Amino acid sequence: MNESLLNMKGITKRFPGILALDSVDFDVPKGEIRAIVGKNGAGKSTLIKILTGIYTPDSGSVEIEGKHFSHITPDVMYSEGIQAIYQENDLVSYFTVGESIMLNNESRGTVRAFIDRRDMNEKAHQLLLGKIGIDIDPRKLIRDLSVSEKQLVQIAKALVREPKIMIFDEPTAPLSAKEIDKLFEIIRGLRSHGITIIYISHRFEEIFEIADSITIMRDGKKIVDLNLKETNEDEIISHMTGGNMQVASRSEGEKRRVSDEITLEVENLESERVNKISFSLYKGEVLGLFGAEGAGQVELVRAFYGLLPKRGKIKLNGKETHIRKPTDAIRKGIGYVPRDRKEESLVRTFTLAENVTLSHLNAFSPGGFVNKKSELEMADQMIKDLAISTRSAKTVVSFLSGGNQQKVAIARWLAFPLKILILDYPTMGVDVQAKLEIYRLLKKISSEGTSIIIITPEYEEIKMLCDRVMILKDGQHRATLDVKDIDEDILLKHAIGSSGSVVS
Amino acid sequence: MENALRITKFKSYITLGIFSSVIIYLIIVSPGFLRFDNLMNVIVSATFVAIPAMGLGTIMLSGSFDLSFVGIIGVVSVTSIRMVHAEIPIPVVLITALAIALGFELANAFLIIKLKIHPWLTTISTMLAALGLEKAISKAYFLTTSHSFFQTIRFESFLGVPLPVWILGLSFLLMYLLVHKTAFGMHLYAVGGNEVAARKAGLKVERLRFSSFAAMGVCIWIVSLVYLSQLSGYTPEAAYTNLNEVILSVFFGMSISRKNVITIPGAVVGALFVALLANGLALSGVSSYWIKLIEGCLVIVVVITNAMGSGEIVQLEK
Repeated sequence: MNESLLNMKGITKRFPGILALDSVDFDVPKGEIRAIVGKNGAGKSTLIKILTGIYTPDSGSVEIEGKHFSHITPDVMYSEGIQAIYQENDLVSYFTVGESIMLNNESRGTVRAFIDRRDMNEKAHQLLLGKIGIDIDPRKLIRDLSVSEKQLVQIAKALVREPKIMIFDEPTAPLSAKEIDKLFEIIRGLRSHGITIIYISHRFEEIFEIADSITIMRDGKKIVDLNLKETNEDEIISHMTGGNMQVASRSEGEKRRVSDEITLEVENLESERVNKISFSLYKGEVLGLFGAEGAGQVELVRAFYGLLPKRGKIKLNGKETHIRKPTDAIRKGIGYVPRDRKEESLVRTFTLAENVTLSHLNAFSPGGFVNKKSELEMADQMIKDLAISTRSAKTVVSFLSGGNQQKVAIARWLAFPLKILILDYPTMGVDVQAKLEIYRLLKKISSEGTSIIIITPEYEEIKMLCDRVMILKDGQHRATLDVKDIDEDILLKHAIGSSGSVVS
Repeated sequence: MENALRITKFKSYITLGIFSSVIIYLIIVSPGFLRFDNLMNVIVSATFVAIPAMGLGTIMLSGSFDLSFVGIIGVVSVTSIRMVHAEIPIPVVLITALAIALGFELANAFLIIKLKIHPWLTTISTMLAALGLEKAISKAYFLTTSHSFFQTIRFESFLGVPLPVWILGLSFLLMYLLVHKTAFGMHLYAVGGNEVAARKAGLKVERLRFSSFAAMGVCIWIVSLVYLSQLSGYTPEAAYTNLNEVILSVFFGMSISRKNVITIPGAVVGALFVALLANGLALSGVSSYWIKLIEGCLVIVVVITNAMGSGEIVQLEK
């Protein structure tokens, strides 16, 4: 049982500006289920991408069954029997189940050049029935399958190649409890056939249920491997956070007191991935929104902002309001800065000034024509207030740095009085200097009375910027905590731990 | 969603229904439409559209696009005819023609796949370049030939069926088997349907995409010979006038397919419809000035039913 099937040594991978993996050693014995955990950006997915040949490591070696691989490509890893089941499905929507499972492993007909679809369907059906235990018609199209069926088809597809290692990346996220049980049964079956499983998840209940051992990563380094029988959640979390980091919270630093005037009350908000969430927001408060990737935080703000269909009650300054589409929200003084500034927030080909006035263009267009002069005045004002570094207000926005683009996205909402500003991870991919400037800007806006909701996966950000933090898990409200009372372990325990109750 | 599903299920019938009623109308109003020799004429004229449509369909189903084939057909035709005039033996002419067609298409493939230039930009440019080269070689003159090779293709029959119809039939059979019956064809669909998935399944994505352009090269070669035979020589920009019909045929085929994907039979049926339409309209006395307008309106119908089938309209409403 102890012979090492996979042995990665000293794996280092650098991307511009980041050391994604720092000399990581990773080895797994044959027939073991190994969980990998780590915070966002700890290096889990980079490691997996190297293992599947999508990335080439800058240095380090990969050995499978004692065989050394220097040039790693998806082809090589595939033929070495490494198979990954990703969340986003890797199937062609208009292929049949049989075609999908047998892709690149087709049965040949009597004329060798042609494929034998009937035989392919039969093999696929037997595989699904025998090894997975599910009866799906192999002639069905992929696009007519349920999420869980698609996942099972992907597993069957992987099994055709008799894999040595199978990687599951957050496989349970879209599944129901019953489907999860079924999946675990299948995974255990794979282990009993001697297949090594690498299981990436942030759900501790599942890790303790299914995995034998766990690898913990932090900041691109492997911290430790533990046997799951000899550890517990607390130990794992403290390895993930690296002990208590000393970050002074905002309320301590500024001795600030948020007013007790309530700006917003949300009751029983329901939407896609959002399960009856209630919360309130005080005037001038900064509320952090924290959870594992996909816990429902993005859907929560999108539903609130009228971008997703929803049910629930919203009270703004004590008065019940309806927000059906973003224009309703804008009219009521609510602004939203999406995470992806290139795709969802800025118009890349517009100038800085044009981007700033985009949401309020009517106010700059008396008589229907845009008053370019007042537009530029507003933009110049913003450049000064927000310390945007640009040659002029007429610079096309895609020429600005990431941090400055983000400032422009925020500036759009500052041209008019704003009650609530919602930001989705505004410091993603910006440098440290710009990060601090964005913090300073948000602090200034909030101390002038605008309430802020900010989605962020970074503990430091919550500590430095927020007054309270609301923690979600699987679309449910787990806790809302005063930031001065928390440390990173507490935060993670609520977001991914199995204990703790749901706030109703 | 219920509604969308129902539309997806029936949309192939919608397109077919519209086109069949047009054809039935034409059968009623135009005498002689259904006569054997008229139908053979229709198929011969469909060859100009159907053969490149099979090539274009192959490129499109593997996730790319090509506009340049009309220019390449021109270059291949005019070079061949110049060589025939210079009394170079036919086998040499044929091999050179094939080399030119493949050379252009592999250049397209290189620009699109290796240099990652957008297929529209790439092939519009190569189309312009090829049309320019065609004009430079021909000086915009009609170049006729009475070489027996081309005369045979034009006038001879086998089992009572004209040779160009045989050429179309054989090309169809080859392309059909290649795209729909071999693993290679299935891999092309995988590349076009989900490139990431194809890569992860260990398919050689680049090689597959190059091959789809090579298939188009062969189609160009074949159709150029048909052009030269049927027109008794070279006519300037003859293929260029058929560009829209070729694209239409591919989309038409997609809209009548059950899975809403591009298929080889679909592309050929599309080309036959376009040819029947033009022929029937002409026979029933509609002026040739109106034929393009009617064709254009039918394209719009095809595009709308396609959009309904792929759920694009429904998604916007959600």
